[in-house]
Amino acid sequence: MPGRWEHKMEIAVPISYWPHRAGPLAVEGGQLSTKEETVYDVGSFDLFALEEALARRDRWGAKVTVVLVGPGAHEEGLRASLSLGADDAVRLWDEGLESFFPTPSIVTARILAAWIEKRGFQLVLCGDKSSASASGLVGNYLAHFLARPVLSRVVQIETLAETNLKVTCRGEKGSRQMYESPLPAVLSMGRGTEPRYPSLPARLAAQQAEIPVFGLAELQLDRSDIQALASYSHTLRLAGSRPKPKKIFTPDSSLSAADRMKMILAGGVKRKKSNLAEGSQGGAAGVYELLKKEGLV
Amino acid sequence: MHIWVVVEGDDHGMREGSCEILTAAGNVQGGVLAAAIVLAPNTEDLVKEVTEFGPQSIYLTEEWPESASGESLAEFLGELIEREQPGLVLAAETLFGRGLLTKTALRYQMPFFPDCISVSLEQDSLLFERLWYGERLSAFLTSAQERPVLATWREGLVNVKKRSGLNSHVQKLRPPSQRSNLIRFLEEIKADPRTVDLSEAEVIVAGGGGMGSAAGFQRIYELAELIGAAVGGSRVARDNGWIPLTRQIGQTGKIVAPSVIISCGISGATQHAFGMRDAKKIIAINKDKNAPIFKIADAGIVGDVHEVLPELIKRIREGKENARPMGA
Repeated sequence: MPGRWEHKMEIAVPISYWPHRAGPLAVEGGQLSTKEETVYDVGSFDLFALEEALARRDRWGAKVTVVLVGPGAHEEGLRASLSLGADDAVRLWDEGLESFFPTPSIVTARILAAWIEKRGFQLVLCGDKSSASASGLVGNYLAHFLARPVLSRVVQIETLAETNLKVTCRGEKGSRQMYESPLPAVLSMGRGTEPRYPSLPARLAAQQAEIPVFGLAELQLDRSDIQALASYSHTLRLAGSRPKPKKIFTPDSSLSAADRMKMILAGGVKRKKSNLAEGSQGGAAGVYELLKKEGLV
Repeated sequence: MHIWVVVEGDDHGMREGSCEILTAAGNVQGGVLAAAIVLAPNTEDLVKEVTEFGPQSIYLTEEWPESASGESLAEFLGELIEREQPGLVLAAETLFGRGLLTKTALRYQMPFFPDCISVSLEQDSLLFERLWYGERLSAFLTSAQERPVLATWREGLVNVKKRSGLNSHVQKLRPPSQRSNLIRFLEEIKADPRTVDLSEAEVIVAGGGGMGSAAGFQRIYELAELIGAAVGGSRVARDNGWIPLTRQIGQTGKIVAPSVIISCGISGATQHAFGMRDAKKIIAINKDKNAPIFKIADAGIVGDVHEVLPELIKRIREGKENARPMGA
């Protein structure tokens, strides 16, 4: 029967735990200030991925494991995921990694890949973008290291057969693209169902749960390899909050002063020489022809 | 430092984002816009547009394969980069640009910085600015690898400026080879114009105060339904309750960029015109021939919308009915 897995499927959900955008965020010496009581949260896309995994588990009986690459302070993110219903939680960190913090996407992906490969998960569901760097690369790098197919901006996952998924991704201009992907695969969620609420007993149980930590040695990773990967991308410094960047219109310097003033006042809207037609009969005919030319009628 | 730009085409020529990146690449202090790589099916018109930005060379594919997959394009681009070794390769942060550069970066082990808001050269090393923590802080990143660096630049941040009097050397190259992919593309479902977000709509029919009443505004919905367009409106239309806020176009509403917009009974105040300045083709219907909308429209009809629209709707219906027996 398509859609029902005979063997219990294992799903890995990599999550990230970073300061919430509400902050308060302050920068000190090019780094995030630790003086402020910053609010941390699991990334919203990661929660979509977790909810998708949990929905799969509720329906087909899969096992969901959340995994995080980060220091001890980030363990709270795993507990939050456990309280939402994840079956297992694992943290991957090593003292040797402190100097790379915040870990670049490629390093995060390498460490995740080492662990996922060892455990052999059929499906990896991650969030498209973390709430920190929002690079959207971890899923892609992860798939590369695991040599598995990857799809990003996923909004819906359906089961075609035991080893095949029908995946719907978000395209441009509001369109949707459908793909057929074999398993095992890495899927990066670009939106999804709103995550569920944790119950109080689940929260309390999550606080008591034991979360194992694996270091580089257990993952059979070399620090020098990690160092080589970290050299691909290095965060030099952070800079304080800035207004959302947007295009500021500046008129062409070849125009006269008067024309430049006019363009600024018009907000950069270009004047065009339009063909004017008068009267309802002729006008409608003209518009009809134009629409025909655009292939709309 | 040699900077390359990957140019992306759409139905109307070069994508606006690519124009922005070409401008931005030419503005990087200490950089040279060395080449533009045109990866699109119909390159002739595109090349003409690209030349206006003055890259030293333009690389083209000889012919476009029927089913050019992301993998084969990445291989094509990667080989070219390996051969010529530019310092930086830029593309617009679009589905195409990001997908292509991600694949190239992975295959050829090049550093990749997606969704940058600025790129600069500081003491011979490239500095990429990205927005972190929900776009609250900027982060400056760099790479220590001695490899060509790839980056995508966010769309809509740079004013497009063309340069004149420059010649580009055009080179045609072997088309990308086909590669098999584990993932099979099934189909694409276009967005339903009735529910798509206005800022993503391809075709829009917009109505303003000239529609007169909610009943009059129904003509807008009728026309939109017929040609598969999304419905929008001016602030007047929203104030009158004919459209919800999510359908208002302008400075206080949505900024739209459709390929065609039909403006009916909208005078075209600056605040509204600002919201539709990126529309490719503007068709305006208004009874006041001095209305400012005609100054920005590609085609204008001076006439009463209550006469023009019913006539237009009638014509479209007739056209559809006439076409039906032939199609059956």
